[in-house]
Amino acid sequence: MTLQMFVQSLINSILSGGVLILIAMGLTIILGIMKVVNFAHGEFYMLGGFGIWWFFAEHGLNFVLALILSVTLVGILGVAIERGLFKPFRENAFPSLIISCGILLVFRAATQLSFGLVDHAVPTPEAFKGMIQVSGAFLSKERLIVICITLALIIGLYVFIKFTKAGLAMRAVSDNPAAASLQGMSVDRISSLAFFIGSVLAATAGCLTGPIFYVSPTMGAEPGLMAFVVIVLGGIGSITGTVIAGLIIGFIEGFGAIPFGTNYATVMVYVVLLITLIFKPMGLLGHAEK
Amino acid sequence: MLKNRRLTPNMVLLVIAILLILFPMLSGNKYYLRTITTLAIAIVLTSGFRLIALTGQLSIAQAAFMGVGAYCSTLLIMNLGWNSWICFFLAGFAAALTAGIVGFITLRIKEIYFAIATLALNELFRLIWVEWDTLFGGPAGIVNIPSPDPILGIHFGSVVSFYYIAVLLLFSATAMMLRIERSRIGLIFSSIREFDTLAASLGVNLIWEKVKAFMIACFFAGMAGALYAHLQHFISPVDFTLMDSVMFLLYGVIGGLESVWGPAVGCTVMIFIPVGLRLIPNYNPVIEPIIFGGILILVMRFCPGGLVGLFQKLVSDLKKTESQKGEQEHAAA
Amino acid sequence: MLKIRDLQVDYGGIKALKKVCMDIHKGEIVTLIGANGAGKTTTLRTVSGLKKPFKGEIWFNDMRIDGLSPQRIVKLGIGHVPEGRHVFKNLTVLENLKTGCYLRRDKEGIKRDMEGVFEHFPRLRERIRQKAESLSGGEQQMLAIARALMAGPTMLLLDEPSLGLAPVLVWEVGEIVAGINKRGVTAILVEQNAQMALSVAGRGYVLQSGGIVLEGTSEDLVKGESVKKAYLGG
Repeated sequence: MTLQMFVQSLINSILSGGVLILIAMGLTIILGIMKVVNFAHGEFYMLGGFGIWWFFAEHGLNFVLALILSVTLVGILGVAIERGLFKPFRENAFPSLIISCGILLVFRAATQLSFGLVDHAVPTPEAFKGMIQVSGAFLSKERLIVICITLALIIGLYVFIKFTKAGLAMRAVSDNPAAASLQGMSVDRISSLAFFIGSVLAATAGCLTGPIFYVSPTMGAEPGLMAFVVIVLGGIGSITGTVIAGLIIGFIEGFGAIPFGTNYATVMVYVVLLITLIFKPMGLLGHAEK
Repeated sequence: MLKNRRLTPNMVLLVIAILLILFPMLSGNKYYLRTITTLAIAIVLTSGFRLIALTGQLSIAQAAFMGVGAYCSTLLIMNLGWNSWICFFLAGFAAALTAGIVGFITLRIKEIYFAIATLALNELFRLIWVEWDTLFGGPAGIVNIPSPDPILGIHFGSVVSFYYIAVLLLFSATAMMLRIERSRIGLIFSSIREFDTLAASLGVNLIWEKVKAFMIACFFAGMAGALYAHLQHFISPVDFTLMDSVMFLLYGVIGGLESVWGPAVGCTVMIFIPVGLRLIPNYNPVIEPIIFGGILILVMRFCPGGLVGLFQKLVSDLKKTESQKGEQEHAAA
Repeated sequence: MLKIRDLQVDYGGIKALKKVCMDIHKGEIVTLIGANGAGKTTTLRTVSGLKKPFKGEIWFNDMRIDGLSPQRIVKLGIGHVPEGRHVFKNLTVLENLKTGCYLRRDKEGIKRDMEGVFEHFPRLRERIRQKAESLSGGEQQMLAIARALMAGPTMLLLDEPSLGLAPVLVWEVGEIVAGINKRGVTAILVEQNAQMALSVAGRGYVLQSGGIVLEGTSEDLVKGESVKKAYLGG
């Protein structure tokens, strides 16, 4: 493996790991707080991608503005779905899981109906263009910037959950909703907040990767599924576990793709998941934090 | 009165069975015959999904087990020239065996983890079929799958003969489900779902019972897969995707998972809705998932017992008003 | 301070409380005693808003509070220490205490109260960074009480604080409740251990299958034959 290949694989691993963590964090927060298994979570990622395509590529808005706009819209949509569909089934995993399957079908088909099944390209913003040379290896500036933003968001979320009052409330509700409401916390509001944060993070991931990959109605399928693999591998409810598992999967995909091909890399991810579950049925950190 | 009520479902079943057997003689419409054949396969798969759900687990990999059966039977017939009827059963056993191995690994874990593990499993199988192209034919799949071998001079190749095989499979699967439902195992299964720890304290080996349900369901899924391969004369990884597995979940939930008739009702309604919709001129099938997803959400939100649950509720409401009329008679009894 | 009038509560069609009337005055400790399922916990849950009443009124400081959300009621100054402790197991002791003052914004007051709590429960200070699940049963109970105190309540509802504790600790809990009361917090104490409860409380209500069958001062109740027989083991 040449240096160039190694560095490229490294960048790709961190990139796909980071994007996965962004999606999976929301998933695990929602699952922890509301006990809602949201199979439609990957669709927020897809909608974020379409948002950036629509506002930035189609209507020529400034990239940052387009990102904020599309992320906010998806966040509002997420809260609306939480209020309208998931709220009655809080604490009840099976009905919410089934409802989320319905939402997934509707979203995917609706975008397909509106924008067609073709891939839409999102141009790279001017500021992201170009390469950076680091000790003989060329790195895409775009990917590095996306990685930086992703890492900043992950750290930001971690700080938010561990050190702010709202984060404390989120952890308290996910630990014991009845006791939390006795402390004056509104379970309704915290649930909506969790859904808002979750859908915003997924949409942000969609916006950031839009220019790197393509935007299409089925783009949420694979990351949505992988995000589940991440949270199960890391242990449901564990933020640290999610980060570790996301990076593990990112590295398997990033480094496995070149010698074996992407499909075999994905096979390896699933095999790792199944083997982990044999020895640690609650995931890597499932017991420690939950 | 009580005796009568118990007989009714069996009577209905008998009538449906006779209608299904007579249908090809009444109507030669090949399109409908093929639709009902597909329907029968879907009901077998969905019933299996329901059986697993009875033990409190959601399996979102039923399409993959169907695929295991389809590939197994096809490869044995085409590469080794085995008799297709033997392969038909081997397909079931292969799927059940796979389910057994997977079940022992994954059924020990909690529900959500299991559902996600099956998701991963479905993808895993699909990727293996895509990548291992020397054996499974890759994304292009396997073409020119022959019709089943003749028995006693009867040839199986026509739409009608497939129809009868599918109906036979449906009958045997339904008979099996009914037997389980009315036996001790059925009781154990539902007690597992209601009170996991209670069932365990009664000495029921939870994992083994769950694996058993999983294996039975996948046995029929495998056989259905073998039949599907013969029917289409062509299989590829696209036929057994995650989305297909989700569809079986959807059929089951819409019909109602509480009742043994739920899968049949759900599949029938959901498979005939598109058939009806396609009669509309300029119809765009892309909206089908929107309709399906919408129905799924509405059913879950407003009648979680599914269509059968809704029907049962209507009947019991009707009976209540009836019994209010003849209150005194009932009070005397 | 707290007035309950003709309170009726249903649990799925079963009457858990039938026409319960109570008066709690400022500065009192009042105990509710009675067998399992008599309606003690239901009374507390209804006062704190976790359970909506079917009929009847609850007044707190001349404000009608029945049917309000738990959040509103906490804000008004009623703290509830639920049965079975219900601390946040995955949160540290400090974080648990912080959840208690979730609705408060006065940083100085919070700091002062936190100090007060640690003075009261020195063992919690030692375990401040530990997760609540690693605490012993008695320590978890202290944490649950301390957490409720962090909200700065004027009235505290305590549901079976001695449940599952060693006999020595049961009396310690009694002393804690008395200490809290001395600092001006009115308390309603639900207890299985009627002996301890009546020694701490000034007055008591005896509940039986959802209704009040007896009320009076602790001395009267202790002397009374029926209470002695039913709840004091002799």
